[in-house]
Amino acid sequence: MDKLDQKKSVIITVDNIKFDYEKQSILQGISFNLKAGERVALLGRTGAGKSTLLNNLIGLKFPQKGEIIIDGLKLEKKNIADIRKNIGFAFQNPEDQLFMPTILEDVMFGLLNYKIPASIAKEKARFLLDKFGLIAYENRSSHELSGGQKRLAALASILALEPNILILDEPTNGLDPAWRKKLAEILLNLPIKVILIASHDLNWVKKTTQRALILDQGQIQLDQSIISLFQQESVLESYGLPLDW
Amino acid sequence: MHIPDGFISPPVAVMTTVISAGVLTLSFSKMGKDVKAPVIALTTAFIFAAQMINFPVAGGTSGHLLGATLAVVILGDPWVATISISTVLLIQALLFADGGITALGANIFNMGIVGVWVSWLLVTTIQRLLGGAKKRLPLAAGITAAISTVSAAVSCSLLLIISGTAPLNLVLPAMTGTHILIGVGEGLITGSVLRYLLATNPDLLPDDESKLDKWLVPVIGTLLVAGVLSLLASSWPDGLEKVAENLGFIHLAENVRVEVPTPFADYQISGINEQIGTSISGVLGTLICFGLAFFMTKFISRKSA
Amino acid sequence: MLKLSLFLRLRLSLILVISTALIKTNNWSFLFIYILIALCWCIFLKTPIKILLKLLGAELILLSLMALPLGGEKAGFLMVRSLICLLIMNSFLLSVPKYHLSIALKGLPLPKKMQEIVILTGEYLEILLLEIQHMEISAKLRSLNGNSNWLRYISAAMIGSLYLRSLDRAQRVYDAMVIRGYNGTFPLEIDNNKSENFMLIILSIMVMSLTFSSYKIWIN
Repeated sequence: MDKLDQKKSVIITVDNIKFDYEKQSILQGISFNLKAGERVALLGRTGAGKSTLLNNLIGLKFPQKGEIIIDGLKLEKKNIADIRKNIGFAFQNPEDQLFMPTILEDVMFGLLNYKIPASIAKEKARFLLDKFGLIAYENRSSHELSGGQKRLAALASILALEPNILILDEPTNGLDPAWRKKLAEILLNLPIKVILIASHDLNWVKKTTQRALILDQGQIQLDQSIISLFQQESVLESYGLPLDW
Repeated sequence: MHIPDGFISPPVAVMTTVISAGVLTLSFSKMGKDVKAPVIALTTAFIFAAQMINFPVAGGTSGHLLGATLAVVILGDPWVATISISTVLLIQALLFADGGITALGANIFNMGIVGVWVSWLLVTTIQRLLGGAKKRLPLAAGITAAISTVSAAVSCSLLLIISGTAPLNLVLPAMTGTHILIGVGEGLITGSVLRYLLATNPDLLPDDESKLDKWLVPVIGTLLVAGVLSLLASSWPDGLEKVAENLGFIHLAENVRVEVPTPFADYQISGINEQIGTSISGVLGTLICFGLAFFMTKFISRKSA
Repeated sequence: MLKLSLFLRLRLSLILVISTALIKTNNWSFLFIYILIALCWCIFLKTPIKILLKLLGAELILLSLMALPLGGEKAGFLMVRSLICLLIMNSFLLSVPKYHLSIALKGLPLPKKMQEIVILTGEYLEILLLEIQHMEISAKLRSLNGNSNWLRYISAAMIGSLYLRSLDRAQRVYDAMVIRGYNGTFPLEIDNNKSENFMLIILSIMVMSLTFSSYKIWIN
């Protein structure tokens, strides 16, 4: 019973994946599990392979070796559409995913792609925009929003598909403290099973996640609770993550 | 050379709109299957934005990129380049009132079709003539850009002439003359940008082309030089003085554009010239020479290789 | 006052421009009617007059450079006709907040594939233009100057790096689309307002028949 429960609650399994790019080995055998209810930080210096790992998790790139299982489905080309529906991925720069003429259409974009009737898609999109305090901007262009608002609009455009898994790449980039706080509050209250956050913003992930994976030289060097990690300043520093800098 | 509304006759407007729409439809069906919409769109936005950068040409004058040749080279596909340049023109006409709505078909015809296809025809031919190496591409593209700009201007004059807006002896020499100088600027910009890309990111540019067969080099070379000379002849004898004067106006036009982001027309119709014959034979000569050069490099040398 | 949607205003402006541009050359009385229509349109749209006049003034210089060498009545007619077209189009453009222009692109009657590219281009144009501006400012702040070779080199570098950035962004935009289920067709929801469409058809028929009649009267 216990075992079954444990097995059931694993949402993402990454099993010994290797990824080379132009004869350079970027990921050299990475394994970890993410369970339901976890909020996990993916830390590491620039160039450690974080982006490559994220791209593998959302099926934009495929590992040459090893496998990734997401919600019971092996990540392969043939079931990529089903898996993607289940994963929300927020880009480092929200401008990259706000390309429709209006914010409302940006949020509706994914829903319409999955053939949800326009009236329902619209209702859903407006609900989310309302929740994020952006309803006044629904018919505006994304260029009219502030940095923080763009971040939320991009997040809404992902959450519209009601994913079980949310992956965020440097979500606090360019946000002031008030927006960083607001974003944290929103994230902590989302009905999402697993949240994985790649970030350099140590103080922010300390407040938003429970567990940390440190990626360095293409391998997971450390996998432990965020609280214990923050007590080992020298360890953090050795992976290019000095505290309070 | 954006033609404004009201300068071409209704039949020419209808004809060019139909042709341009047809070519665009064909372009969408012919373009490579793996070309992604965002790549076309961002390249198009890039060309539009790059046109805003002032580029010093010579003697205190400056110009800006038009982009047909650059689009052909970086997109590597004339069909996609046609789509891209047409989109630039559509947005300029609609959002910047730059170029007329009824003249959109004509403007697409001149710059998106003539400009792009002349570029595509010539760029590899010239590169192969220069030895084929990738490092020759900026020079080849520069020369091509100049020629394609003048070709588009000639096409523009012809449309104005067919429309009955301006007499041939007035418009063709003036347009060609002016655009020879604009073309030199375009060549410089295109070549310099490609040199930059070659230095920073050579993988983005097409690979080495095969060298031309030895006996073809003088033949193709002569044909291309003859073509360019014919093109120049079509502007004869619109003196350099006139052209310089025109350039002064163009400079004024540039300034207008920088201050208020809207309409401008970078050409004039002026000058008087009776030598119609030179102009027509110039255009025809160019077409024949370039066509021959292209087909010889494409077909003869491939078979013998 | 009657409030027309953005799309309707764009389409009406386009129809007015087309019908003005096609009036028979040298038919001054019809041109005069269109001058009145254009002025009404400009007043209706509450276009900021000062900016409009500035723009049209600049246009007039360029148009006269083009047309005057032709000489005579024809040159005058061509100039005025073009100027009216510009008045109509600029009235529309100036009456719309800058960022809503890319929204207006959605209302264009274009084939789907073309529309997708036009919309995406419009969306990213603003961002790339800003990048250009920033590059130029940053060069200016470091007191860019020198001979034209150097300046050319700098301009080419700016254009080149703008291209590299655009290409990177294109890949990310594409990824962002794919992740949300994009499979080659762009889902676009355009509100189709029946009464507006009806109005558009009636008005187009009216102005087009006006233009057509400019030819008949000329023959008589």
